[in-house]
Amino acid sequence: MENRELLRVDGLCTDLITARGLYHAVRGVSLQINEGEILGIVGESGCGKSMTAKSILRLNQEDKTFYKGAVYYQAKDGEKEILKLPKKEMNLLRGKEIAMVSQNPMAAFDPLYTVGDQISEMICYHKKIGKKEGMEEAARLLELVGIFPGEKRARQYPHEFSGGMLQRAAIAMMISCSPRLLIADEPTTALDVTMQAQVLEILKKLKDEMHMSVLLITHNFGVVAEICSRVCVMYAGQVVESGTVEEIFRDPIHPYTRALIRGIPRRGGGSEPLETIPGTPPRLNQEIPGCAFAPRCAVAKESCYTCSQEIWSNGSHWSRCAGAAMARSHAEEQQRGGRAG
Amino acid sequence: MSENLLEIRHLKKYYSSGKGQVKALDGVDLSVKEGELVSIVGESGCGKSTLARCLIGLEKRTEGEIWFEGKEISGYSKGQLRPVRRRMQMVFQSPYGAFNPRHTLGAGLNETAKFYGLNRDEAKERLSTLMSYIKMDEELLSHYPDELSGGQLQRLAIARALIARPALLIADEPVSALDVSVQAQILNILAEIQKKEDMAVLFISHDLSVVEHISDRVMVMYLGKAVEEGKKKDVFSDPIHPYTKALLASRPRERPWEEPSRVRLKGELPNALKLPDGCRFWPRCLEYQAGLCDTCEPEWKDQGNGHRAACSLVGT
Amino acid sequence: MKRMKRKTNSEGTLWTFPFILAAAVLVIVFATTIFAPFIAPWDPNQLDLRQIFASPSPEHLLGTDKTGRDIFSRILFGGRMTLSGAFAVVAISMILGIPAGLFAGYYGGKADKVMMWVTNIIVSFPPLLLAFVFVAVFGSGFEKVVLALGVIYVPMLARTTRSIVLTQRNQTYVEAVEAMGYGTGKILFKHILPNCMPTILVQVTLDIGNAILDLAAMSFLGLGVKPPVSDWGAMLEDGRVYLLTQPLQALAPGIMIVVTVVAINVFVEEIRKYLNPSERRLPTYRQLVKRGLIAEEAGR
Repeated sequence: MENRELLRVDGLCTDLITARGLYHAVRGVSLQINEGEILGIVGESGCGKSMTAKSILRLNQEDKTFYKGAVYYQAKDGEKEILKLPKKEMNLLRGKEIAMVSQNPMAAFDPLYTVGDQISEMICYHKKIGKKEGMEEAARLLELVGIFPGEKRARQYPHEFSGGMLQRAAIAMMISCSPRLLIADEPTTALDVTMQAQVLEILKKLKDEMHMSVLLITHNFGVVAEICSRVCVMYAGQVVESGTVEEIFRDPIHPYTRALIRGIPRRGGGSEPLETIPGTPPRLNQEIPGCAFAPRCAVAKESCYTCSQEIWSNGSHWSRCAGAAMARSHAEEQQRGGRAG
Repeated sequence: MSENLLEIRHLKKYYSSGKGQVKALDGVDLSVKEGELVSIVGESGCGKSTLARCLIGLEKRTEGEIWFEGKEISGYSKGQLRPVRRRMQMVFQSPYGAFNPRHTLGAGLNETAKFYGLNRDEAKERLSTLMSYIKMDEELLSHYPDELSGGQLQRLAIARALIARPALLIADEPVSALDVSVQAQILNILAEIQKKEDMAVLFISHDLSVVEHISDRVMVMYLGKAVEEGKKKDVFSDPIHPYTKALLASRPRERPWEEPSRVRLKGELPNALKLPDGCRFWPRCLEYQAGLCDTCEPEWKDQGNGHRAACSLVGT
Repeated sequence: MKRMKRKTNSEGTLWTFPFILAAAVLVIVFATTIFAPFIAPWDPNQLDLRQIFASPSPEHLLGTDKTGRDIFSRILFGGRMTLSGAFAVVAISMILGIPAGLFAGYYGGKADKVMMWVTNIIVSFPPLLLAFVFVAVFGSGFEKVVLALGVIYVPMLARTTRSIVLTQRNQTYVEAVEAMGYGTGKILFKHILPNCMPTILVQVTLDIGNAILDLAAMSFLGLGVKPPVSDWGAMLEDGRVYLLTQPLQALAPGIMIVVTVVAINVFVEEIRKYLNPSERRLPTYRQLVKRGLIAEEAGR
């Protein structure tokens, strides 16, 4: 049961039409989510992490978006290629099999209806049960995400909830049809630390108790360290490094990942300057030859600008920059050699 | 007045709404020495931004005193405040809206320089110094705000605030809208400029890691009141108030192999119109003692070294 | 202006077909009326009783009216009255309405409440009805009608301005200049107003169209221009009686009113779309290929 694949994204490219031409939001992303694991996608704004999630659910405006590559989903009745699925089947998949929680919980709810109404509406639509049972189920779900008393809270309107509570209610709504994959797009970014801790705990609980898979999109490495089992680091529409959380934090290979992690203030550390990355991310409306990170990279060689990078991999750990990995093992060897001599 | 650059005494700010009174600030004391970096940290709704806005004069305080450079400025009119504002500047959370979208950045900065009485040569010299502080090319000044990134704009917003050589810079969540790598740039620049210009900074943030990195002193606020204050090291390594403890424990793990924290703050922020009696934190407090916390207003207890907390349980 | 240009160059979608057509119509209408004395073949008020109700001919392009005056010339000169009247109406409403909206929106409080209250009352009456009241009190005449309409348009414009100011005043850049201690006048007129101007100008242009209609209506009812001077509304009224026998008498000024107003509305609509990027139409894949912005790929 542990390592069965649930969703596999294979060379996904998402191109959007803008007034100035094509915008290559996602440029060849491959990743895999297994059953019952939390996969984190980390990256800075504009790196394509949200667009990857939206592409998996095909939430972009259809006639202004072009997909390449494939997204395979292991449904109960066999493998499905999401990007080629007819619209009707796609609608059935959304919500019932794959659900999404966004950054702004206010957006998930209509202010004119009670929270319970909206959760039960979703249940009734997908499960074809009566309104009364739907409300009971909604109350149960609210208690599951730690909103008590569920029955009373279900009869309240969205504005009567605080931000953190509303985000948990949104999760309750999204898991109402027991989807097998929950995509959480920056679910804690708008929340305070104490509320963030509560939401993360719920996600962990869903994984542990309901064996749900979670695709967690965030820019916060703390959130990743707290609950993810595996991580993909994205830059300029590509995954630049992926591996287990331990591997990424203990032993980051790609220069971008390393710089990112070192740019976070350490606890108990002094006020010495943090490591920064010079420059800005490239605009994605052109093809980028070579490594997209090269102009900002401290160890870039001339070839990095023109040739595509060799890929380094070591079991579950994978990086788009083989040069950095080689340089590192070389240095290690020298150190060892020096010590031996 | 004493040697403090800024001294706030019992500052209160009440908003009246249809249903009653919201006490956004309820008797806050704070002092900032020259050249010191003091942080105010707390969750949204704790009044930290209201405090900043009262200081800079965007809001009128309801009660209390604000002493700045030896003068009591809380009752000043707009005209009286004008010379004070040269000495006290502010940087806002959102860099994207911080500049007039119809003016080039250079035009905006020059206007500010002119407003503060710098002549053309002085302005030019000052701007080029500032641009080197913020590590940006002067060529960028000919651009419009929407052509630059958030990080670049925030650096320029800092530069704009520094044109008149203020003695105090209030930074209201200056990095929370920015990406991790950009955040590091801004923090470095702030720390560097603070030393070079020898100015005091009042840094307001909800991000504990950032506060721990940058501050000399920290004040923790909860629902319009300060609950703990002290040197950074003391507050972060040896928190006294249960709220500070809970806040620190709510932080996600820094590294995945660390032991996860089990302390969770229960419940929600209480309704701002119906604050609990006694200590405001007791309904969520893990060390709550009935009969004590919910009846008496906690008093400040000093641990020496300027580290103090407002909790009835301390020392009992 | 520099800024507008910069935008059109990079994302130029303003030059759509409807925009160009409307702009062309407006340029022609305004040019011909402004230069009426040079273009008009006849004196618009010159009677020629031998040529009553002449049919269109090279001599009289649109024929003549019941007293033998050249309709084409009268249209040109009548347009001068109508258009200059409409501009005057809008100018009056701008001078009073924009500052009122600015102050109400920026300061809020009691002044704002009173202004909104008055505005809501005035706006709930049709403008023409108010104009009648005005004329009843102060007497009729073109200048008085223009003044009346100008004042009647003030609340609408003030309300629009106020609502835009409200969106701007909470922007960080306004707070930033407030925190720096800038004076109120400088904040209002140098920072807030320029950022509200695009939307205000859209409203103002729309008001020109409305003013043309209202002025025509007033003249049609005989409350506006006094003979022999005429505008499009008065000409419409003159021709109304002969609608069945001499349709051109009423049709010519009628068409001019409709065409001008429609052109103004289209013009404004396109600008509004352009200023509001979410309504801007994105090009299709084919168009991108055609413009050479992307290379065509097989399988799309």
